[in-house]
Amino acid sequence: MIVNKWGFPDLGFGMGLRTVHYSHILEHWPQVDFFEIIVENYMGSGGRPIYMLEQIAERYPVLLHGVSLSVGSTDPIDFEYLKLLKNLIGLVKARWVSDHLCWTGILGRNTHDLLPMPLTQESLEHVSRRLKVIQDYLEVPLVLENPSTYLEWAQDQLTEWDYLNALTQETDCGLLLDVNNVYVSSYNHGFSAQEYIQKISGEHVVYHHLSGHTNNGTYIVDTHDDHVIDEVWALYTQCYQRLGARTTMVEWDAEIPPFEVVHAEVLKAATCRKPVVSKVG
Amino acid sequence: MAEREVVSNAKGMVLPERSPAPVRVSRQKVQAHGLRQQQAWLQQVVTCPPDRLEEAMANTGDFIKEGYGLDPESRLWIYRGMFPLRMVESLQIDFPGVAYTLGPEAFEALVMSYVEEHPSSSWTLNHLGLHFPAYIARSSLRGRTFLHQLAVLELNLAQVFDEPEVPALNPEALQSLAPEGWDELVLQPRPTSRLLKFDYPVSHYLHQVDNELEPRRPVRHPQRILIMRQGYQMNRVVLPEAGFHLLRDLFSGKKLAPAVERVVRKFPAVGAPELQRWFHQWGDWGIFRA
Ligand SMILES: [Fe+2]
Repeated sequence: MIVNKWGFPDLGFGMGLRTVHYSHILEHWPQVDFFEIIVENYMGSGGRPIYMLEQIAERYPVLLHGVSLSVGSTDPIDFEYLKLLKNLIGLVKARWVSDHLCWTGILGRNTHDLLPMPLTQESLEHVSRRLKVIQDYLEVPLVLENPSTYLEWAQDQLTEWDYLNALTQETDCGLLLDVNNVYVSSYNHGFSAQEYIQKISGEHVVYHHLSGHTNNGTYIVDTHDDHVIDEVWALYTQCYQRLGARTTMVEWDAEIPPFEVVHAEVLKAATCRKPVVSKVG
Repeated sequence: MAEREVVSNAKGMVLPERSPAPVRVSRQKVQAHGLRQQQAWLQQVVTCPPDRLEEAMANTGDFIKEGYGLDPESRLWIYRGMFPLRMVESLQIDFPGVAYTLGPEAFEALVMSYVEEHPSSSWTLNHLGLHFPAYIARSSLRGRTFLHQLAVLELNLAQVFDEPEVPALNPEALQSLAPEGWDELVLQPRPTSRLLKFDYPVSHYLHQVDNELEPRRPVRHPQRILIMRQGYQMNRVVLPEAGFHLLRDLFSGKKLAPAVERVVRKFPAVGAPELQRWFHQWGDWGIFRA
């Protein structure tokens, strides 16, 4: 079993905090180990979002997850964004913050999509340089998530796991290993998801995401609108067997069902950690 | 009012059955491009208007790997297809009334032409609609004056939603203000209180849209609105003309006594009981800063 290098504890099993569940949470204060928030929904707002966050952060650990860092962009780093992010880190006393290995736009424009990075030496050096600046500024480790991707660049030289491993070596960033994304990208590009999980730098994996997706036959879209599929549960079990207990959360972002349904999916993740005991007699 | 919520998922994106991008793609030897060029190229493919797509995708083979399962054009189409969904969804949340009035197709066309002129340049989608009302006013849309005013109301609602919370002057404090201090007294609005004047009953119309009452476009009729956020709930009320004038003077920084004198002069029917009732209401609503 590999322990993550910062000694971040296993926080257990959590879920994404979504507005449709606010009233359920405030009424029932359910047994959830933590909530993960999308930071952009709380940054720069002085209204209900931050009020809700303060209430929830009083009772639960809150993990910060972003979609707008654009770590791979060739535009200058957006320090206005980082300043707001740092405020939020202070507010919930976060020990790390996560975002994606991607870029969202250049030439001053934001597409608000998680666009794929070329897996080249040039790109690796570029992201490394930026990651160091960002981590110095934020004063907490940045934890990068493997995104779901739908294309590969003609000039790619590295596998995604080799790229991420090199990045962790160079910058000491953490990894958010999204097990569903490994599956989605492996399906879309024809690599082995098992090999990915076997080769990813275990000591850098801080936590896991799990979610559902939409399989359109020739490709999968990472829609987060359904239950986690069996193949992804199997990969998650592989992660547990290799890495041990790591903080795990379920993302359900579209067609969001009642709280209990998402919560049941969270609890299902816990069962993957138990050794299978066959009934005798 | 719906609350914007950014999430990290991809949009449910189904490729059309026929080849989505009828463009000829060069399949020659891959040319090396730097990271900046690669990003500029993909961004152009994802965001350019349809009439520039063929040109943008002409050298796909230089950039995108001949993949497994899907051809490079279809792969690009997945990203390109998600872009309008994101833009339309974002402005639909902020401008549900405009979206309802135009219907899905015309709204999407408007959003995409708007985004072409005013692309998002911020980390947040909250600012995407900032120029949308002005863009509508300059458009050739039928009934654009009404649509513009509706968009102004909706933009203000979206902005007030995110304004910082500052303490309100409580009703007792407002009632106990001694008349001798009125000459110098300035009552400041909270950032979550805004006044708007329209030539169409847009607030009433939006209320009907929100409640799925399927309203028809209204005829001209002036409407004066106070938007306020109370306990993180968005509310708005229609004000009488005189009350609106008085509040507008106060919100603009005029001192209380001269503002009251002005409104009484302009609207002689306004007497002490009316004024008292207004201030009582405004105190209860918590629209002034403490
Ligand atoms: Fe994820």
